[in-house]
Amino acid sequence: MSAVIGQSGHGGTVDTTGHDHDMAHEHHGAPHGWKRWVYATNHKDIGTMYLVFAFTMFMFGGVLALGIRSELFHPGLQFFNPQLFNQLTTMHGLIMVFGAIMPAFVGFANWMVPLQIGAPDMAFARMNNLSFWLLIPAAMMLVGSFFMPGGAPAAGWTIYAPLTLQMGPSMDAAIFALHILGASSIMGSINIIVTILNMRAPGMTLMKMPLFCWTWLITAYLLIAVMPVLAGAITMTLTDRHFGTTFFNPGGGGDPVMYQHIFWFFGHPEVYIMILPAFGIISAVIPAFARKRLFGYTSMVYATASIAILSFIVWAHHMFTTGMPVTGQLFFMYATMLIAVPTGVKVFNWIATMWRGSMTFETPMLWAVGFIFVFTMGGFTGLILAMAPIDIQLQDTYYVVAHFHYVLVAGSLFGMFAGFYYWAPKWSGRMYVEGRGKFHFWTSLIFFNVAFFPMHFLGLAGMPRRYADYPMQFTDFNMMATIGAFGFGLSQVYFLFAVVLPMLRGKGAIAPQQPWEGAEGLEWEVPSPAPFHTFETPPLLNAAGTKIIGAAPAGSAGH
Amino acid sequence: MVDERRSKANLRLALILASIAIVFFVGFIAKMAFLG
Repeated sequence: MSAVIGQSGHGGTVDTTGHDHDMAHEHHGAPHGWKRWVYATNHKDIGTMYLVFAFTMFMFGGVLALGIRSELFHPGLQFFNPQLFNQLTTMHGLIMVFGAIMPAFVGFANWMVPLQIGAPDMAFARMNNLSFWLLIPAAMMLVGSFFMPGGAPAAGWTIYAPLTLQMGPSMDAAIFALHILGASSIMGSINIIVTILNMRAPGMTLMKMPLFCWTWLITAYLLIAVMPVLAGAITMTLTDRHFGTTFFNPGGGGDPVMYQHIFWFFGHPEVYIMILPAFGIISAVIPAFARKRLFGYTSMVYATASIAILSFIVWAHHMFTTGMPVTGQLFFMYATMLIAVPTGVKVFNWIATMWRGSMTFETPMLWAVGFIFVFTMGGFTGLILAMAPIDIQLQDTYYVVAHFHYVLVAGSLFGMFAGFYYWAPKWSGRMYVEGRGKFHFWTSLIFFNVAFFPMHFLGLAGMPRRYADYPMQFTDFNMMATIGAFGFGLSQVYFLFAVVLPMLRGKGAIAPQQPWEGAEGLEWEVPSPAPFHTFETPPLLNAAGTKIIGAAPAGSAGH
Repeated sequence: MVDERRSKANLRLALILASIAIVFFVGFIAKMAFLG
């Protein structure tokens, strides 16, 4: 794609960050006060707001999770009645998926994509602002639904019909919130795709882009393809509830199983939406701390695209127990297993990158290695669940809960922590305290496994999910899981107070421009903290697209 | 600093992507409503 990105046009001197000194008077640095954040159009500010928002929602969703685990510490009903318990599980899922993981990755994308491709900002800065600020009313509606008549939605995060057709007004609030969050995601995706395809610095060809940009490009396409499908499903739910249609209401000839098909046509790609950007982060961190170039870059790109394409043809593996022809079960079973191939390509490439590398284990690398360890475990249980005969036994048990938490907590979240420790020195200009980072990692890893590993046994023994009570024989493993969950939660509180807040307050050692000796990429070519404006003038890159060697000549056509 | 030609290219691509999203949204509902 040809490109002519703006040039200084007046012969100004340009430093290696692409900052035009003679134009400095036109840019007054960061605005001050509340206007800086409310009217923010700078990708770094918006990225920061996304990350703060996502962490806030993560803590709120975590409190709901601890409510669930408190109730399950003992058999019998301790704190919550079953209806409220179902509200907790539903809202925990909705908030973590739509309020925490997805916005957090958009925050990473806002911060890093323009920096990594040498772009001055996102393509549509004002739309970027709107995408973020739409999250706030949506989050308020979701969280506020607890205080509506009948309480919060309690139909599970999948909001299955016909349960959704029978619930109180909070379901309408949740549907509206999901519409808004979907619109925000679609706008964010459009912004990311246009930025990556049209705004790359001259010489930054697609196959020279950092893997994080590639994974986000593919994720953004996935979002544009599937978010409208979810919007359609919940719109039809809304019309069933209020406007007399019967899309999913069997009382009028509708089909609730059709809702499940539509939801999972969105839902399974959504799983990859939540994991592909983490793959990109891990693909940046491991080469940096192994001090080797990423093994099999091209195969990583194709593997990512393959995973995305395959994610569209596996949705019904979530529905084996709804009843389907054996040929259908076989198709979805084998298609699901096929995803293990490109995923395996990725895992083996990460291991090959580490092989005979000059490895050190600073905190980002610990999180990356931890990611591979626990995510692979989640992947293996995914393969087990892909087999229709086994899935029919394990459907809706704690085995499934263990599986998707190994993939989403130990996958997405560990990937995000790897990315945070890796890039936060660039964002804040301060180094975190290495010992604190390692303490956060080890406590999280240990308590995560204490919380979720026993759930495999619970599921295999037949304990169903979404129940507030259970028979006595499940007590020991449930107690263990609850202790692990509280330990994991406390570990994140420690992260907030010992790592995040000190960095935000400017405490700690000053971060050098290049804190990791093995790291490569344009983000390490700008000072720490990254200046408010970067790459206003397109940089001239070396052959690998990893270093700036000057300013691009006037009128240079890109890529 | 994004020049006019680049802005137009950005807008064109954004509109294409947005139209895909709208077609998927409307198409899914229309399919369910009219084709069952």
